[in-house]
Amino acid sequence: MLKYVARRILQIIPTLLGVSFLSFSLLYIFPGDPAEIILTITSGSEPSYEEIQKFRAEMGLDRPIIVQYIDWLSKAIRGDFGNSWTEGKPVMDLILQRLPASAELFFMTFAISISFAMLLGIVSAIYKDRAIDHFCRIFSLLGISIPSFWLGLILIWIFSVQLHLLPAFGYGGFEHLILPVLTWSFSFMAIKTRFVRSCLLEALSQDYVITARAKGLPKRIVVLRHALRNALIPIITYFSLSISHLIVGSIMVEVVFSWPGLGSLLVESVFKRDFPVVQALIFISGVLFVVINLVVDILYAIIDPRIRYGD
Amino acid sequence: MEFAFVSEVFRSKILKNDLCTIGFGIILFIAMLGLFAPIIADDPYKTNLAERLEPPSIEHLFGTDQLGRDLFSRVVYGARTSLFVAMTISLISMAIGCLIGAVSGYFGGIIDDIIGRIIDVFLAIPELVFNIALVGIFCVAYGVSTWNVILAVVITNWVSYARIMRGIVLSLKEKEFVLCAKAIGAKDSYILLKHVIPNAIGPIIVLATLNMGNVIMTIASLGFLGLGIQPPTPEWGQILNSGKNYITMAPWITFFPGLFIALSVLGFNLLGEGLRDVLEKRTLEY
Repeated sequence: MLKYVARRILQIIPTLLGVSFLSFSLLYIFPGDPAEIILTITSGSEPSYEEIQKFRAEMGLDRPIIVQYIDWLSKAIRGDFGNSWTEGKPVMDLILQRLPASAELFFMTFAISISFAMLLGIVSAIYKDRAIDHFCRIFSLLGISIPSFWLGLILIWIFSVQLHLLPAFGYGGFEHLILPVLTWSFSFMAIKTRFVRSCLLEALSQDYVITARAKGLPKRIVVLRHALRNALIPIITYFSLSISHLIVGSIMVEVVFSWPGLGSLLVESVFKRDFPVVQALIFISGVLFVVINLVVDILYAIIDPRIRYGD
Repeated sequence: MEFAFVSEVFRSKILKNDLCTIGFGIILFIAMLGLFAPIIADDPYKTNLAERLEPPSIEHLFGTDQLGRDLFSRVVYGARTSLFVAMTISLISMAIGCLIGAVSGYFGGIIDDIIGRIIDVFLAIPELVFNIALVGIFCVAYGVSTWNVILAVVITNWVSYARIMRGIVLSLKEKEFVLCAKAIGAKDSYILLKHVIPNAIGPIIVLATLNMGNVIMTIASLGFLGLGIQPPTPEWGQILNSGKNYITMAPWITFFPGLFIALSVLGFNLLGEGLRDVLEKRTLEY
């Protein structure tokens, strides 16, 4: 077991290094001199030659790229992403300020989506090719095809402009949460419903299901006790991985509803050319994905010995 | 594959599948709109401030926008923009992705390890986040242009092709018919042409179809954020973006472009799923 965990941790190190290098190197795709670009963006005017030289030495931009990368990485690991170019505050402060709003939106959506996805997916698989299955499949196809920003605006038009029932945008009480959560859940649940359905259908086609049915167990029991239990492994993995959407997973929804979360922070920062914030958000979301992946793998190795010996 | 065979498969299998037929019909409809835009629609750039924000009527089927431009014409020309940009992105990423994936799977060893890690890194970072950051940086570095959007999306989009292609090549390498061909001294180019390409073409077509839907959605999302294809070129996401400020007075500016985004993404998803049923006979359904 320890060997398995150690091997998995070693495996993710190159990926983490890759994610960090990619986020770091974003600033170096610029064709120009980074010192000049940073000064132009922060001061808003053309810097002089002396200013550029001074700034370059101050920020250590004259060192070799690899040294700068190691320096950046060692700070990033401790949560220090430098200062924002436009706000003057540490990047981490800006992110922590926006995190609660994103978390609130995400966990509401997550809770609603996975409950409905389980329900619809199971019903759909049990009644495969019947009317209710077709309904669920059409519903989930629409969920992945309808742009969330369009759905959001349509809901705003219906519930805020026409019916005056709910606020169109902003952050505050429970009534502000309803439309964004509804909008995001529609697409969030669509993909998950399809996944639950296909996992359960796969499990239902196994021999032990036929055996259980053959010995006379009612279909309901076979589905819930035998098939669903086995289907749960991939389903829970898939659900857990979507927790990485917590960081900037809802960009379009946040922008439509002016929700002050990390998604709108990303878009605002791109417009303000505040690239340290963009760097930090890419780094954090990538690392979160890799780490959640690792945790889920290790948990499964503990639960299911087939995984740790089979690999 | 000869043309007669392809058209036979098309008629006997693909058109018999409901999903394929509906999806294909939708795509054909949108493509025709784009192709015959100059015949169907008026000038999408002609402003008329006397007719600002007019509701849909016989004269202006979808109404007019904030500059008095005919929204129907802008939406129809928008089909051109979306399909053209999405096809460019898909073809470039397909070429790059298939090549990288094939090289990785075929040579194995250290090359495969490195490419595999790179693919993992790209899978870890949410695509749209990376696209937004890249477009932002390209705008600063190279100025605003449609090529920024194409480049930014290609940078994240090749990965799915590389992954599929790598898997196909890895599994083919073990197959007896490939080992036999090698044993009797067939050249790599022969194996590629006679074994790899015919086996890869099905899954790649399915992926490319589903991917077209994703790319159209990404272009529209970037457009909606104001980071995509810039006005006055008509693009659905960007029309929606300008419409959101007029949602109380002129909801039609929001409604129609969104409907066309949803319709085209739906078309590609339906066709892709149908093709998967036809081309890859799998027990596992999605």
